[in-house]
Amino acid sequence: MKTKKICMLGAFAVGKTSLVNRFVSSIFNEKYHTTIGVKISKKIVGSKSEQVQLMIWDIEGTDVFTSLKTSYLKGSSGVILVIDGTRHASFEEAIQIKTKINNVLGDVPIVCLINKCDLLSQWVFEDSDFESIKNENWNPFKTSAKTGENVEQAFFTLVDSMLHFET
Amino acid sequence: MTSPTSSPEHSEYQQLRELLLGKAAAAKLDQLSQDEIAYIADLISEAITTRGNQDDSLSHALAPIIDSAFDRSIRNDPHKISDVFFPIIGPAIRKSVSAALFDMVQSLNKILEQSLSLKNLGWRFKAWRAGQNYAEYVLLKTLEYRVEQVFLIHRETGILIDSVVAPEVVTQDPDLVSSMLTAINDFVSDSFDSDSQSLEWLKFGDLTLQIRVGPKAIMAIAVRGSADKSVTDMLDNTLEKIHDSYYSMLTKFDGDKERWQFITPIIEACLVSKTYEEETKKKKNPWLALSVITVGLAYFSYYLYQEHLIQLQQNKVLSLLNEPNGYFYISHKREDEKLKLTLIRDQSESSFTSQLEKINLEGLIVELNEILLPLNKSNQILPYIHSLTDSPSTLLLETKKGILFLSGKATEAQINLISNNAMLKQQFKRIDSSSVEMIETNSQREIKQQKFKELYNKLNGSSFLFKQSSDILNDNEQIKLSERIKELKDLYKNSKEMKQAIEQLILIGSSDKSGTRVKNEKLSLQRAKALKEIFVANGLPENDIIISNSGVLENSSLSNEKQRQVIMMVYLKDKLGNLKVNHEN
Repeated sequence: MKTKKICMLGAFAVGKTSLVNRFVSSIFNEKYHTTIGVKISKKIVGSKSEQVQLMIWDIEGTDVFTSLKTSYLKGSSGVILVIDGTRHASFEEAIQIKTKINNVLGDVPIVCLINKCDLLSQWVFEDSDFESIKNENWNPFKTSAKTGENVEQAFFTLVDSMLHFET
Repeated sequence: MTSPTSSPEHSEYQQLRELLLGKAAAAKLDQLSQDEIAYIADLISEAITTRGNQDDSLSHALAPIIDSAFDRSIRNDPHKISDVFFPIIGPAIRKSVSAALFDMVQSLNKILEQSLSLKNLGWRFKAWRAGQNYAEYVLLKTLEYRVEQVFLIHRETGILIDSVVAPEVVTQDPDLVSSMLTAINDFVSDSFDSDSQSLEWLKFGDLTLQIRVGPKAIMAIAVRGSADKSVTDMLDNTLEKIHDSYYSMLTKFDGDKERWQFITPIIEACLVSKTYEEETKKKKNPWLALSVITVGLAYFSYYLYQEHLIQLQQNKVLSLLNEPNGYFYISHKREDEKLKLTLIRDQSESSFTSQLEKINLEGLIVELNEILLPLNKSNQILPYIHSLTDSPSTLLLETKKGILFLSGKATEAQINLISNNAMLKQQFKRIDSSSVEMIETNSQREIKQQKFKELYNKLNGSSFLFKQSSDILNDNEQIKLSERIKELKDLYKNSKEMKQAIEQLILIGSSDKSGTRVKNEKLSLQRAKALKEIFVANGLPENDIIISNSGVLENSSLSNEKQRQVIMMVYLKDKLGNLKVNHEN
């Protein structure tokens, strides 16, 4: 079973940690985000024949005050980009992040999670945006950390693309 | 000349050569081969040494030859090898035995020290107070340092390549730990603007994390205690070695840990530790163990001495019963310091305790069980008599008119026990054992058989020496003669019992070389006849004895004196090995 490093990126409070916590195992506390800016967890994904162990580097949310620590990105085989479907600003943030990712890691496989889809009343992410990023290889998924909708599929897709990217 | 051989073929060959080649040429050829040999002899030692230094082929080639040579040498003279080994074996065994004993005492001492010493008891208390496992606490106190964990991490991704843990160390998930370690390293580098420097060590309490960052891999070790420079050097060297040997593998690392399983022993070698005691490796005087052993021995010998004293007392008591008195011993049993004695007392006698008062019992407590025998009711003692002989007896007992009659079957020993018993002699007017059928014990039978065999072997083939040209025995043969005659009579006597009939005694006379053959023939027969007459005169059966002569003993290496002899051969009807005897238990 191979081990691969992936990073979870996105604006602050988009729900990265909630997503991760639901599906992974870790020994580290949330406080690591605010101290060193990263918290690492582990998850095994895949079928019995082809399993991959993911080391998930949950990197702290960026905003106007903090910029992305690119050193944490080194060596990643894949990226999960998270957007809060109820805040448009997080989408803009995500676009900037993606540029940085491409600078540092090149054409690494990405999946994009538009989170909090359970909050339909507050949903601002438009379908047109969804379509546009789909065409630009963002691999978008509408997810909810609360209900768990689409999260596993997102991980699967990422792993799939990572394995294909290798070969 | 060539090597001397005495075989005729060789000398013929030599002659042929000389004829064909001429004497001088033949000699020259011989000289040549001699020269060759000398030439080779000069070089051979050097050649062997040189070859030996080059490669192993010489030992390969010689090995089977040496094997068979060795084999042959040992077979020819095994004693030689054992003689060589003999002086070594003794001291070697002694040495190993004394070393083993010493080790035993040392380890016993260590165990005792660890359990009993004040220092350790103090530790136990402290460990209990701190809520810590005693074993862990001991480790803490005795270890100078110990490497508890080793990580080998891929630098770029922070993925763990391999990790090892020292036994009984509690750890967290090494994958997560190593990733986090990488993150922290990055964090520190980023935060403190350290220009491609990296974290080298982290210390918390007595745990130190030493980190070495190489171009492609990071190695981190967790050390408990205060490590010295050797540990740091080891870390550096190992990381260097790994980079040297596996640089390309590290570059291409894609997260597949299975391909890296071979690296485990290399990093396992880093799990070193050092204890304080190793500093002082001198052999301590194991006083604790020795004192425990001494105390043990002292106690044991004291116990033995006590036992011995009690045994003496017991014997004193029991011997009292053997004297002619009105007590009949039945049984006794020893329980620690108590002697439980069962006996029959004639009513006219006072209690045995009065007898006991006469001797000093010194700590032995006697518990008496006296069975009273009413006056003039001597037959009441009958059931107890069997217990005397200590066996399920086929002996029958009967009393009539104050006389004890023994019948049935018994061994001689059993009968004696009863006949000599003081109390019984007192109780009964007479003990009659005439109608008892004596049976032999097995051992008695075996002894008799053995004696018979010995007697037979002594007599069969015995010889008697005679004076020169005479049929008179040597002067010093007289004593021998009378002994032999007595032994022959014994043999005859025992043969009936052993059911081994003596079939024949054959006396064969012989003489030395002096004189004519005819005379010697006659003389040897005369000698045998003379001996026969002596035997018959002494009561041995004439019909059994046959005389014969062997005349002169041709080519004999015996002395002349010995040649003038008569040999006696004893023949039994059955083979000696098949001695059949009646068994009756």
